[in-house]
Amino acid sequence: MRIIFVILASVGILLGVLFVILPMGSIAIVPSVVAVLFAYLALNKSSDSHKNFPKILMVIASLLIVVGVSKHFFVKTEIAKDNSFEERVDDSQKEAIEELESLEKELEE
Amino acid sequence: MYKTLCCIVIGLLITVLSNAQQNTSIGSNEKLVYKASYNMSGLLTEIAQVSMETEIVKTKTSSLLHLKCIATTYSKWDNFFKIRDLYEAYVNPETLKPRLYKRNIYEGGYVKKVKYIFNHSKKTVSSTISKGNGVEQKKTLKLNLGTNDLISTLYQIRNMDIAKASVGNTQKIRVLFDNKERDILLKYVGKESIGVTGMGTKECYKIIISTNEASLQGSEQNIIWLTADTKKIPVLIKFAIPVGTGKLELASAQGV
Repeated sequence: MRIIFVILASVGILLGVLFVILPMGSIAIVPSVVAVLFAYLALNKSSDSHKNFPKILMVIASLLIVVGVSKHFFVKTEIAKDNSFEERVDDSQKEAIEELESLEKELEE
Repeated sequence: MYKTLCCIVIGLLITVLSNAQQNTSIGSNEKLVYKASYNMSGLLTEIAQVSMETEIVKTKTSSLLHLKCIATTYSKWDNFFKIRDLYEAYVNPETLKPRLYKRNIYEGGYVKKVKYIFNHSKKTVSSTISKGNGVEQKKTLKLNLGTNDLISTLYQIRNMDIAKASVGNTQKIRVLFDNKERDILLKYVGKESIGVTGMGTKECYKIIISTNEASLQGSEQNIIWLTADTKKIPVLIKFAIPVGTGKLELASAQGV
């Protein structure tokens, strides 16, 4: 049973690392919280001489939660100013007006 | 007698939500901004901002309503999957009939440009499509009566006289997308109260949008909630596509 908990906690940590790297918002902490729970269960099932690894897993998962929560509060949900895209939008409108005017000219003729 | 009754009922169903009416809902200086969320493993993540703007543009001989829809990923997503999509339609301000439609998309490195020039008198559309390699494919397509581009259609749905519709009424519309006319079915399913950022709770018309196209179908229904007033602002859109589900929530509205 201890091994299963250790494996589940490790998988949770791997997912937690992935989710923390990706901009997933508050969802990022979910696998890390799960990892803490499984690491705690693994710790309870471990004999005194085998408690170190679950402890390390708990520390890593806790750190991931801290990073995930910090990112949630400090990384803003906003769009970046993109000059090239703004240019593309303006150019598109200029082209469209030219196309519409030539279309109107064709229809007149 | 039975056949006649059936014809009358079907005729009524089709005509109740008529889309061939004068523009009474779309302003000439609107800006609606939406937060787009995508469902990842059962959890919704905010991924992009979608804005829908209108403005009057003048050519040498006429004034047209420019409908502009822009989708931009939030900066935190740009390094992973950058989206810069521009959809435009230039329509008659009174009838919302399109003259020109343009689609210029950038989605994670995938580039595509589409241009449709509508000729309603000849019932044709001149289509130009180009992808990343820049090679243009030109075609002239036949246009059925009432077929519009995607963006004009979105605004025409807002212009429908939904107040006169009864629960269960349906309306079939045709949309030209990727050089193919596609049938879309709108079903009015009643009113619901929806909480909107900065606007409180609004009574809304709930409309289910469906299609027979297997390639466009998702696991859930596409639903749009429009405010139950003269402006019929889309406040919430839930969508289901083959690769997932998501929603667009109105974040701000100006000029309506």
